[in-house]
Formats: sequence, C-alpha cells, structure tokens
Amino acid sequence: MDNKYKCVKITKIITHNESNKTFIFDRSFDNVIPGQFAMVWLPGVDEKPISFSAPDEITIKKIGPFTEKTFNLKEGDKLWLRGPYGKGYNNFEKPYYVFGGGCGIAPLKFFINKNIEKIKSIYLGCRSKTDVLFLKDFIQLAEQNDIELNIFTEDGSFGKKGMIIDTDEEFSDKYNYAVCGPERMIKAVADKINIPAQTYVSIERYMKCAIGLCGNCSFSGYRVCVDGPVFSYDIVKDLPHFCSKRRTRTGELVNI
Amino acid sequence: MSKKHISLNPPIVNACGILSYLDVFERLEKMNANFGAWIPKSIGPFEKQGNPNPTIYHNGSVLLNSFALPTHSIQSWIKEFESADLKKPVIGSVWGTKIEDYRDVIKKIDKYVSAWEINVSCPNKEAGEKSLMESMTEKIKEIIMPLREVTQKPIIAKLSPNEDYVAIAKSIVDYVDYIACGNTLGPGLAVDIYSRKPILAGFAGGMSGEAIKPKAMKMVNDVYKIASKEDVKLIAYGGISKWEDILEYAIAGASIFGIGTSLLHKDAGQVAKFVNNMWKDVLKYIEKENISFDEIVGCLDG
Repeated sequence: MDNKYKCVKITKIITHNESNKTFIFDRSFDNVIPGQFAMVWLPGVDEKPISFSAPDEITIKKIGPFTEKTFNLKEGDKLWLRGPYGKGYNNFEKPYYVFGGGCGIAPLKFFINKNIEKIKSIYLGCRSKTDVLFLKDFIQLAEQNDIELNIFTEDGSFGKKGMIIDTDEEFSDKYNYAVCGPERMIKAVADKINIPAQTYVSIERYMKCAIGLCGNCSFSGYRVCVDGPVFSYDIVKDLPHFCSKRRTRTGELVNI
Repeated sequence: MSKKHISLNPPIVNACGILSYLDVFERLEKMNANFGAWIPKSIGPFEKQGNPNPTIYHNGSVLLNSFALPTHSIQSWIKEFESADLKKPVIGSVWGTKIEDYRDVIKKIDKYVSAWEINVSCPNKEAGEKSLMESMTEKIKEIIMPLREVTQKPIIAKLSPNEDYVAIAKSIVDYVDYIACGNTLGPGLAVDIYSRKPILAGFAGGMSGEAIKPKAMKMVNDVYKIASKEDVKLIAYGGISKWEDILEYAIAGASIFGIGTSLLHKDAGQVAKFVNNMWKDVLKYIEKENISFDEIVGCLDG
C-alpha cells in the first residue's frame, strides 16, 4: 500500500454551518471504501485522521488548532492526504439501516451514495436543523430512491423533535445497521437496536502513524487505524475503553 | 560475573515503539500471536509529548519516524502494569536525559518486567530540543555500569548504528547481558515538493525497514565478535520481514529477533499469522538442515 502524500487542490468548499465544512478536491481516491479515512496534512501545522465523505471529498469539524487552520483554506489551496486507511463498512449480505449523528453524518453520506440500492432507512440526529449536514442531499436521495428518512432535532427546528433514539421502530435481524457519530450516541443507538453482531460502528482515537505501528490509537488493545475504525458492535460493546477512555498524544489513558 | 539470560519462546520480540501498549499486547495474545516477549514504549523520567504529526513517513522502501520518545508519567505506567494481564514476559525499555533518570525509572518499574532494554540510542528529538541521545554517547558506560545495583534482571544495552558501536560495545560488555543492534539508522530527511517543507514535523527521523538490514547485519556481526567472548547475547533489529531474515541474523550472531516496520498495515489477525508463520518456517529449516538453532548463532565466525 502506498503511503505517499497526494497533494490535492481544493476545488470547492461547502460551509454547512460555523463548525462544519466540506472540502472537495481535484482528485478522486477511487479505491476508497466508505468508513475509511485519510491522514490529512497541513505542512507546518499538523496531520489528523479525517473520514472521506466522497472519494474526492472530506468533511471537517472545527475542534482544535488543526481544524481551525483548515477552515482558513480557500478554493484553489492545497491539502495533503495519505491513505485511504483502515476498515470501512463492508458487510452487504443484508440491506442497511443507517444512523448518523453530528459530523458522523458525513462518512455515512458516502456509504449511502455508494450503496444506494442496499439502504432501507436513514436516521439522522442533530441539535438543530443547521447541524444536519447535507440535509438537501438526503431529502433528495430519499425521495428518488424510496428510502425512509427520519430526522430528529433536539430543538425541533426540523423533522421530529427529540433524540435519534426516540423511535418506536422494531429492529429486525433481517438488516444490517451502520452507525456513525459521537461515541455516546453510538452506544445509545446500538444498544437500542440490540442486534450487535449486525451493527457496525465507527470509532475515533488520537492517531499518529495510522498504519498499525505505533499503537497510540489503541482502543482496549484494538488499533483503530488497522483493526478499525469501523468495528462490529459485538466487539465494541464490551470493551472497557468504549465511552470511557482514550489515549492522549503522550499515550496516557485518560477518561473521555 | 556470569550473565543473566532469559528464555524466550520463540525468541521474537516487537521492537520498542512498535505496538507499544500493554492492551495491544493483550489483544495480540488473545489472537495467539506468538511473540516470546513484549517491549512496551520506552519509559522516561517525565511525561513528554514527543513531536507533532507527521511523525512517520514511508516512501515504499524506508520508514522514517520522529516520534521523539513521547511517554506518559511513571505513575500512569504503573497503573497500566497493575491492570495488565499478559502471559508472555515484558521487557521494559527506559530512556533518560541523565544518568540518574535510568536508575529512577528502573527502580520504580522493576517489579513489572523480566528484563531491561536500556535505550541510549534514539536518534530523534523534538524541534528545539537538544539531541537526547547523541550527546550521550560518551556517557553510555557511566549510565549502564551502575544499573546492576538497581536491578537483578537481565540488562540489554540498545546501541545505535550511527555511533562507534564497536568501541561502545567494548566499554560496556562487562556490565550487560545483551546488546541490541540496533536503533534506527540516520536520522534521514524527507521533503515534500509542493510545500517545499520537511515532511516530518520533527524535521528528520530514524530510518527503519528492509532497506537498512545490511547495515544492521554488519552491526550484529561486528558486535558479536566482541560480545560472544563475554557470553553477552545479541538482539537483532532491522528489517526483519521473512523467516530467512531471522536465520541470516542468527548466522551473523543474534539470538533474539525484533520485528517492527514489517508489521505495517497489519491488523491483529495478520500480525499473528505473520509472526507465527515466520517462526514455523524457521523451525522447518532447522529440521530440514538437521542443525540446532544454537549451532547457527554466530556460525559465520566459526
């Protein structure tokens, strides 16, 4: 596998809201599987793992110095990527329910677009309407492909008022379930579905090498960069670090 | 004084800085990855961030790393050791910036490990930091000599291929049980043509992988000529990626074999398969050639 940086030019920037932007570039990573990530480098600044939201696109949430710097980028500027890395969503024996929260909606958009005929239903949960990334795209693709779309906002500004788990739907083992979002949301949703062996969740940890060597992204011993980031919930649900611990840049285990 | 040796089955370890954490080792044991011992990330006297990313660069033939010894506090390491559940022995790795650092770390962690690898050879540093290890070359004997007072465990000196390792090996051979050959080569530099900047945030980084194997082979053989007279055994590091590499290093003089860069891109199952097959093939060779492993070690020098 090639670990060299690909220097891409940003051709378009979508500003979703004040803390989420999507960067589309002039080069497509054709072999990327939804759920996989790239190490995104800004020379002189830092390098972070970011999920693909399309083969030529990443979506970034502003959370620290690195992402703040990327938010200053303009169309025509360069970005450096190595990857794609890790395991994505890849079990297609059964059609999928998709559950996305917050920035976790972005990689799921890619997953849905690539596997549209295998999608039964989409659940999205956010604080407010403006937090629902790619809202128009989701509405359009749900209509065109006859997919159920359930959107929950905590403030009731769009869709149903409430949390993503506020549904009466009975979940059956005739389906697979893809879940991406904040870790507590993953737990709430996956526990509610309660079919762990058919539920796939995406886990995030501090990453350095991203190629399985340094161990810094260890999640109860699973190296997220090579064993994940997408895991079966059957594995994740019982791990002591789930919703509990992460390793910092020094490698120290701290509470989340 | 007679030397202390540990029996590892198989004589394969992970290189320090690779896999790094006790929970990763536990997971690999559950996957039946057959390493003979585990070496956690090098432990230092104080918490240290190390370099920011990018900390590695792989150009297809050589891996550069400039982690620059990130470590968390001794207290939090003790917490991890206390909760660890490993079947295989652990070899502690220690770094320091002065002589006392090594003694202090060893005293506090000694009960959790079966041997000590003394890291006096890391070529990396943080930006603006004085080189941790290069300046230490003169002091290696002073660092190693008094360690027997603080531990009864086997002592492994991990030397650098970038220094006069023959002279250093001669100066410490009376005070150690093993010499590890060696740390990463270099450091080397990689630049990006579009930003026209260094790729590694730490500017330069130690080189590892198959391409450095001939250099490490020479180091093993040079040091073997000195070490074998005093019953000091060798650990080989440097590009081990197939069963033949283990045998080549054994012929040159090594008894224990460290794996690092060749684990790149391998998930837990693949790591297990890789290391288990490698050792299985070594055993096949031994049977076929009708020779014992001990007979092979250092046979290049008759």
